Amino acid sequence: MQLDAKIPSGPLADKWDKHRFDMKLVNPANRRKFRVIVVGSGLAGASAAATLGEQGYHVSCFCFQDSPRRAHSIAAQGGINAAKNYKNDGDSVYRLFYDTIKGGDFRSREANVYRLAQVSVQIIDQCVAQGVPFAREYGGLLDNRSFGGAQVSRTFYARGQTGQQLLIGAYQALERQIGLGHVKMYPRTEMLDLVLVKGQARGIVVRDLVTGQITTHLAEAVVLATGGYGNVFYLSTNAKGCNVTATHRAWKRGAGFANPCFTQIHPTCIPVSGDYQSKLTLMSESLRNDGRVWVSQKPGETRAPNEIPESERDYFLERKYPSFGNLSPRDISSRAAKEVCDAGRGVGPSGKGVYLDFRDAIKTFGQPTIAARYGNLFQMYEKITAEDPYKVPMRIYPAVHYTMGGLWVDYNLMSNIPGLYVLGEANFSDHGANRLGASALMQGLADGYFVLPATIGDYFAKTKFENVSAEQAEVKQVETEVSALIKKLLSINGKRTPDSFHKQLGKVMWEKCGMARTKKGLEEALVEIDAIRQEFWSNLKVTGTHDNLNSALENAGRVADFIEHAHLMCRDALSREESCGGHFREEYQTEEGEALRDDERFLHAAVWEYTGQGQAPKRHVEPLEYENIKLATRSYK
Amino acid sequence: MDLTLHVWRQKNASDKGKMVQYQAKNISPDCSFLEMLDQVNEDLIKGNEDPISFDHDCREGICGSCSMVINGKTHGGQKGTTTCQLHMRHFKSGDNVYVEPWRAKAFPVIKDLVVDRGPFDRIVAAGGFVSVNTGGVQDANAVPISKVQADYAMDAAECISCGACVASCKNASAMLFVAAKVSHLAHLPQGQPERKRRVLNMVKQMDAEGFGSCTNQFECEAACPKQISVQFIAQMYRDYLGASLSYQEAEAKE
Amino acid sequence: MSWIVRLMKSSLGAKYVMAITGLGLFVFLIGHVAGNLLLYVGQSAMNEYAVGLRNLPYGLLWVARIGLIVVFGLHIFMAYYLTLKNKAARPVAYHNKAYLKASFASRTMPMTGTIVLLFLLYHLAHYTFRIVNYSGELVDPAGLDDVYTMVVQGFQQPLISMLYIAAMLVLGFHLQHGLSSFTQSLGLNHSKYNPLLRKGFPVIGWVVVLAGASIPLAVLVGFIK
Ligand SMILES: Cc1cc2nc3c(=O)[nH]c(=O)nc-3n(C[C@H](O)[C@H](O)[C@H](O)COP(=O)(O)OP(=O)(O)OC[C@H]3O[C@@H](n4cnc5c(N)ncnc54)[C@H](O)[C@@H]3O)c2cc1C
Ligand code: HEM
Ligand code: HEM
Ligand code: SF4
Ligand code: F3S
Ligand code: FES
Repeated sequence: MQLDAKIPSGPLADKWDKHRFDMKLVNPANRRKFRVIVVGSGLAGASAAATLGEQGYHVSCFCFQDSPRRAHSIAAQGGINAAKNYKNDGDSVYRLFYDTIKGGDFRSREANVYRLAQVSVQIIDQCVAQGVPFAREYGGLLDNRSFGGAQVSRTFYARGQTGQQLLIGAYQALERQIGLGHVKMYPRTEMLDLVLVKGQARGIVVRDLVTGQITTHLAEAVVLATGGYGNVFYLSTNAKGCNVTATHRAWKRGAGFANPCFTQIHPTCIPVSGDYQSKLTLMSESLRNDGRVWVSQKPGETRAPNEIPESERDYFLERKYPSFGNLSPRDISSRAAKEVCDAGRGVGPSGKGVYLDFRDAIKTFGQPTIAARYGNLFQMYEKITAEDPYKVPMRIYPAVHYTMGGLWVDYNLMSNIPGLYVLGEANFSDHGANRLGASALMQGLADGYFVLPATIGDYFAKTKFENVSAEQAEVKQVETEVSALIKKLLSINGKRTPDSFHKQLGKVMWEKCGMARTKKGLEEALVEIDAIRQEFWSNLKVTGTHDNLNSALENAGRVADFIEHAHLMCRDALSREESCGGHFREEYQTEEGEALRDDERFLHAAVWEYTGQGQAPKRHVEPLEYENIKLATRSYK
Repeated sequence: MDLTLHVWRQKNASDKGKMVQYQAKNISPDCSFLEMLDQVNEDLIKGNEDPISFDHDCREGICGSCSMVINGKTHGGQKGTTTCQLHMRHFKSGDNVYVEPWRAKAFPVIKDLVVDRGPFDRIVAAGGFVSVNTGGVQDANAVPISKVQADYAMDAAECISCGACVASCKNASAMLFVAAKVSHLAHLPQGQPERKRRVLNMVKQMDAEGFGSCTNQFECEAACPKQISVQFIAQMYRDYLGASLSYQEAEAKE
Repeated sequence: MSWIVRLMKSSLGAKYVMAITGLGLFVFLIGHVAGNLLLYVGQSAMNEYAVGLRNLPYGLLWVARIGLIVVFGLHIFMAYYLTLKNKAARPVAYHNKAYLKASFASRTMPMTGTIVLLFLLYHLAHYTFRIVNYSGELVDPAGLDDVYTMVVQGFQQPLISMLYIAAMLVLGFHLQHGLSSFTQSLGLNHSKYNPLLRKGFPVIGWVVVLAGASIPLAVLVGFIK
């Protein structure tokens, strides 16, 4: 596998400018001849499809929801970072670059991250021009807030619905192109495979989710912007439909999968309440500004929280991390919560939860102030749990939130397959081993509005394309394989539902490849996942037909891929014998229980190559070179 | 708790469809309405039946996918709540629960509880945007926008395109949705250059899709999970009249 | 001028027409009821007013009548056009529709409107064309057409006055929604003035309607003879 990151030479700050000058351009009159398939209509996909449409390419865009505007990006709450320095508080492109690299625990590529920080500034301008109603101050200028892991206020937001507003902006731009006939939209259509011709990505095979029809779409380039795979854990803060199918199947066609084990666990989510639970709800991190996290000192506590006297409470974050306290970073807070729960001191019916208590804040500031700050969050919490957080402390627990790993891409966002581009959460490029809050939205839009539209022309200008037809053997072959897979899923006719396998897989992953991982646990997980896979293919039951809307069938295909992908994640976690960011191996920690990186052996991205069904995938590495930043240890004591 | 469900089952767009009775057993009061249906579906699959199809994704009230009329009320009728946020504690054991899809000529049923809300996308494609291409725009702070205006635009922009306004309105009118879209951009300086053209084209598309017209029932406002105000409908009445009387371009886009 | 056609055909255009004609009808109603209240003053006042109207110079009466016919015609035509269109927009009804906010009055506008229309047809036949329940030429002591006696005689028949009272109450319902609705249709909606707009106009509507209904009632109980 060739892993050339194609990082332009020259000083960090000039790389992107220089690269844009060096790249070849496509004459506007010729662009219509180049067909581009964009899979996904989240921030990354919608912004890319819209921009490529504006530039005159012949674009087709696909999503599995009924409308492009429903992509999972819509759920992001907190905000989007940009190095505008509107607050005059010392922010700069370099600082955003540095914070992102450090936040990622020094496992991302300098050049990509620097470009991200540069482009961030343009994103905000673009969104405002589209009519995104960002929060404003009375003077009429844009408001900012600060977010975890940064000492400056650089986060732009639109109430608690930033992702929604940004996506609506991109969606509107996309709909405009659809109305003009530049982009053809295929909603309720799922990509099930990638078509390669002579080693180039030349199309995709899709299933129309309403009619069940399998068709092939051909193009000169394929862009995957299909989001993250957090749902491999079954329970996560991701939307129910998020899946790994597109990237996984591209992997099986030869694309490298980088750092699959890098997943982010968010500390403030509403705990699981029962077996029926289908997803977890994130409570904004901002709550930790005023809430105090605690559990009882005594294991097996049965008293109600208000009956536990002050002297018997353990404010464990304040105790362990006196200087950051309740505001310690995501990975650290999450692990601390897990620790106390594992010691039998967890709260709530399942014992998997810790209190987030506003009693003291209400006493100090008064209920109206707290209501003004968090009223809508308290309401949301009450809706879900039927408990009033003004009176009873909230219960929270960490949950899977984001996946930093993804398909490997070079500086141009092209995977190792020529013509296959990967954007947004689906790629691995910018967040290393841990993502900072409010940076995913930034990356998705940077990729879609600014990076891909600049780099894709170079590929078109420099590449020779043969005529490809849907009837060609190597194209037909892919379509046949997809149909066969669907037939197989429908014909096993065993006893268990797709969801039951998914839940089982999720439990294994959460226990053994979740917040804390061990060699032993991961090895067990690999065996257990094998067993799940085996039973899946012999005891699955999918009812309904292939030629109709069939949620069970859709789900079965996704679960099949999750099982394979879970295996890959565990392998990756096993082979990364260090702790960094979201990846915590219990064997590799300092005496105080903090993550211990091993820059000697693991200062690289691990990139996995598929080698065939039932065969061990091959691990490649892309070494990371730090020319501008000195490696350091993160400390929050 | 145990419930008796009466669910609309319809194989495909051309099938006639009917209400079918199911039992939901051992439902926890803490689970959501969709999680209750998940459990019913698990049983259906095990019993060799086709599961009930329904749209859903985020399951936290923001994507606007979920769309059910429960006991005659869109999203179950709790204030500011989508179906996915509706919890079973609002029901009693033994209740009969009627579950139907959105019903409107413009939203044909695809299967069971799934309808086609494509008209909403087409209305946006007809004009619900600011015609700026990527790049070449001015600095974000170049044009100050009063906080009141920005907040007002945001109030409108919160719409999640769920379609409950259409489904709850006696006339199956899409006024609240379209008005929210029109008002969002009408309240921002960026939306001004195209303001008249936008409202003309969006209303034209709305009418072409076969929605009913508004008779100011205000049911939509009460049913809207984002509590979008009918003030925006009044805004659209104003804008449309003004635009009709004064717009110069020979024809609004045909 | 094609834009006017387009405007009228659009769902919003039809609403402007409804609102403006509805408001026009209400203005007529105010005048009409106020005129009829002269029945309380006495025979000569009422008759002088009625005959005075008929003898307006320059054919103003016919100008007003044609205006009235156009306004009624547009209001009724648009009402049925929209009602049919709205029915067609929901071909399959809900199993058990429940309402959260839409008022009874708002949901029954076509119904109350139709009742008012039927009443109006009867009313015209009764007092304008005088083809039903009319006892023949009545002339008052001053030699004027005796509208006063015609009305009083009419309302002394309990069935007829009950019909009028009922019709006025139905009209009250129609106006209860109509008079809060027209403001919204014309784009008047502001949180500062909404209480006035949405409650104030319907109150005026009820005052007018009840004043009208008081006439047959007053005749029935013998207050006006
Ligand atoms: C609850 C929550 C809150 C968050 N808050 C923030 C925040 O405040 N700030 C921040 O920066 N980030 C936040 N994030 C992260 C961020 O929202 C996501 O990482 C980001 O939106 C991903 O965007 P995307 O465009 O890459 O993918 P998505 O938005 O996930 O879009 C994926 C698209 O791909 C399509 N798709 C997927 N598979 C297929 C297939 N097989 N065939 C066809 N189409 C397919 C889908 O239909 C969809 O259109 C949050 C995440 C969550 C879960
Ligand atoms: C109880 C209340 C009412 C009374 C006592 C009343 C009385 C009358 C009388 C006496 C006339 C005939 C006048 C004349 O020929 O000189 C008349 C005409 C008329 N009334 Fe009424 N009316 C009442 C309510 C209404 C209502 C509610 C409406 C409309 C909805 C209405 C519409 C008309 C019209 C259109 C005419 C014909 C006017 C014309 O000749 O041009 N009336 N009414
Ligand atoms: C004669 C038969 C009548 C019929 C069939 C009728 C029917 C209707 C209907 C269906 C509506 C609701 C339409 C909508 O809101 O879009 C309406 C509205 C209205 N009607 Fe009537 N109506 C009649 C008479 C009257 C009369 C006599 C008056 C006044 C005195 C009146 C005043 C109004 C008003 C003010 C509205 C509100 C318009 C709006 O919503 O903007 N109507 N009518
Ligand atoms: S206006 Fe409200 S009910 Fe209508 S689509 Fe938007 S959010 Fe849904
Ligand atoms: S309920 Fe319907 S009638 Fe108008 S105000 Fe809302 S669209
Ligand atoms: S599933 Fe997204 S709003 Fe209900």
